Amino acid sequence: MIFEKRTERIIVPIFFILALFVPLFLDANSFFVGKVSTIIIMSIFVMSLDFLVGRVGLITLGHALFYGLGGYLFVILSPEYEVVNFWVYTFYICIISALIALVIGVVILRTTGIYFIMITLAISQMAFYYFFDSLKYGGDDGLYIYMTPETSIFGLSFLNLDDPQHFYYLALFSLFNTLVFFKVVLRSRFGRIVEATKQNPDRTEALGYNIFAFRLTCYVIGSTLGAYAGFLFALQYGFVNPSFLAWEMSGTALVMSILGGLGTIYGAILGTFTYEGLQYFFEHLTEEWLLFMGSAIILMVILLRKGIAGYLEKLLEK
Amino acid sequence: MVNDIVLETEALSKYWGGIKALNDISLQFRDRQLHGVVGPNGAGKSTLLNMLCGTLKPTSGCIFHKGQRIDTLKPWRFVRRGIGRSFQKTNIYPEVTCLENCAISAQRRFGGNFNLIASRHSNKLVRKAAEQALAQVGLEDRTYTLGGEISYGEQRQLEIAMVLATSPCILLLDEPMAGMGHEESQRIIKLLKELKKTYCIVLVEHDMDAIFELSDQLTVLDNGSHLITGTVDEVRADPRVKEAYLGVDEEQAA
Amino acid sequence: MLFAGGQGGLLSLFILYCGEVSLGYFMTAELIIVQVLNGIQYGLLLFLIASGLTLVLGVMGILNLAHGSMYMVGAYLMWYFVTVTGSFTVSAALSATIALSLGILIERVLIQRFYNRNHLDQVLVTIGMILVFNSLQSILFGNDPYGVPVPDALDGGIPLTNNSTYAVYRIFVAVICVGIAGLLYFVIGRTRLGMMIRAGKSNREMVEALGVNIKSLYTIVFAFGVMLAAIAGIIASPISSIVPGMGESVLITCFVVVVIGGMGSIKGAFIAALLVGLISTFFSILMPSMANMIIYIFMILVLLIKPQGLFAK
Repeated sequence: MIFEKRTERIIVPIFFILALFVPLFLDANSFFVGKVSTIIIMSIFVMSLDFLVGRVGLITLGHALFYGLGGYLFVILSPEYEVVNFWVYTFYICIISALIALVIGVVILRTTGIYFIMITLAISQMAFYYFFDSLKYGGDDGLYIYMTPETSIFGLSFLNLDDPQHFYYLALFSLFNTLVFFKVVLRSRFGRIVEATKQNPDRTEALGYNIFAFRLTCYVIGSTLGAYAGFLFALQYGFVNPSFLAWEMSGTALVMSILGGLGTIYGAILGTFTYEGLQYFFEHLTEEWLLFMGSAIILMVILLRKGIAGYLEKLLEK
Repeated sequence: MVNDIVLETEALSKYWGGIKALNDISLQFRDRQLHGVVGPNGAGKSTLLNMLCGTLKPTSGCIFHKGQRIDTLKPWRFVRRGIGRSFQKTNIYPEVTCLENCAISAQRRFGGNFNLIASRHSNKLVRKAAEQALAQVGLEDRTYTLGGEISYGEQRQLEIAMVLATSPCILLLDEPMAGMGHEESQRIIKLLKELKKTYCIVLVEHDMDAIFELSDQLTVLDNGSHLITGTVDEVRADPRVKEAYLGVDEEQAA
Repeated sequence: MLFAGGQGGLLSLFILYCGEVSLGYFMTAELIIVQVLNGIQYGLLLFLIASGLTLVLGVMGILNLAHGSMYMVGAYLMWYFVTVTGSFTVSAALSATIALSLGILIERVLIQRFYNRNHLDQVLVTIGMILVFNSLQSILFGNDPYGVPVPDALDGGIPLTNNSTYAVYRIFVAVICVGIAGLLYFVIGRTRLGMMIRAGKSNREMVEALGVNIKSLYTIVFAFGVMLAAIAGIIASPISSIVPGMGESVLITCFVVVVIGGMGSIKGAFIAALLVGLISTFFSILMPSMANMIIYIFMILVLLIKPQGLFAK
């Protein structure tokens, strides 16, 4: 059973069933379908962060680096006007992001705790400035994507990514796969050691496991999925710019992950939707919505220690 | 017939700045024997154990395992060679079951540790090894209880079970009976008597009765220096030992 | 090639040399001296801010991401009071006092609850504080860039060579930073308070047993820690632009300083701050497009050679 908790078995199906119907009840070109697609993509990003922070214990403030990387890699690798294959480029982007994550991980995973937090932030800032200051990559304005990839497999094409409804279902499908993937990995033999490393790293090392290798693998996995999310986001709106890499992106994702329930994986969906919902609400209420969001975050950390998922689990688990 | 030497230290020393935690220790540990290590507080027993399992690196001197030099290796290589260690401060996984505790310990030997897909429950061999380890220490009825929910004495037993699950050839036990009542200690003593038939055991303990009952060889450390190594009788008779322990003996009597 | 102790220095000299050579750009002696002085002054300022951060981190184990916000608070308050009162000294005193009070308030109301909670909760709550500070800044002061005039008494320049001078105010900033650094060194190294501070993190129970009120100690340390950042913002206000986001950029530079210097090492932070200041300043002249990135590259190079930082304990 990859979904071990009763709460998961209730919440996850409810969410995906509801989500399936969203575009059907709304005008396909409406702003709303696009907005929900964006939140779904954000959920993928947050979920990958939740895995790293909540399950592996790597508190990274530099996850946005990969979000930006996903977008920028696509623009850099793909020809400007020629239509390419979505699946092929997904593969390229994932492989290259994984390699970059591997190199970075080897350097920074020798550190832990607060040191690690600081370094991840600094590295993502470095990348931010790299793209911000570069003329080649559009600098502050970023780059535009002038074509939409096609999605044929063996000549069979069934998704048109220009259609918001199709794109929505692609995003939803990706979210579902990401959730299942993480659940499977966490239940696996590998996952057993990852869990042990988080619970008691000294003991796990004393048992003969090379925890550096385990953490590195997890870092690569989490970062690659974060890059995939960035890629989807760049595709959706047709541009990429340095704001993808800003520390605010990492910080916000962290807040969403904790709001939803750190380490629960499915909580990332709850947290992202709630945060975006709250922001939408406050934004329309007052210009100073940031003040309320900031205060809400502070209150939340003090009061709702285990996030929304934690609260739900308290209600639903016997 | 003398048993083979499986673990050996040669002029092993550990200095922390000016402080000599261990000074020129040369010991031999033989297979299928229980080798006790005692000494007053600060004698260097934990330091010795930490070095024998690779967590601490010597300032000078060497450690040999079956004739091969190992002191420069990383700790996890020590484990792979079969040198298992239990901790003085209970160091189990409190959030999972006792079975899972042992399964985590056992899984390494069976491979597939980087298998991202196969469920952890699917490997029957791991489960069997974990169950066996629990049975060896007598914790079968706690199989499905969480590590954090069993009693202190049971946690110490679990510590030993976890080491056994890794299928070691050498057991380094750091005060396994610390904080245990008489009955629980007896259980561990019985267990160790069984285990020393198969493993080389290095036992650091303060419980003198247990040490005297179990040790085939006994080493006394004092202030980082090697005082004496011999049979229990030889050691008890040595006047230097009595001097080093003068205070401790009275405590033990009380 | 790179030997102990001077590793960082050699590395930075190497980087500077590469910068110069790659541009085929030769700087006049005057220009070099000015940049060195600027670099040192910037580095000293960084050290002031970073020392507040490491003080709080070292004593209470709290990573205060909103530390940069206090730098911003100092700067904005300075601007406000100078505009209102016209006096640099009065404004500085007022701003510093408010910052200190703010530090006490925040510690009592918020930070106190997080001493026993994990790093993540601390990171989160301080991120929330950043958002609150930033929005307060926007509400109270607006988002336009501001500046504070150099006080008359410190205006003007000291002649360096025949035809160049160096701003007196910048020397003043450097002197203040060195002064405070010396004060810190004295207090932490030589006074009873300093001993309590040093003992506070590792031996909380022992310090309490000695009759010291740990709660008050922590409040004092936190309040002074953030006040250091605010003071940096105050004295830097005439020579920097007061803009939204200034807190975060200085915070991240501080992180780089702490990482390069090594965890727990004040000496390391000092040297790292000077190196970062120098490299950053030189590159903004030599290779402006790399100026932002170069310190991160420096940090990564240091990490590759010495993962714990140059002077880690």
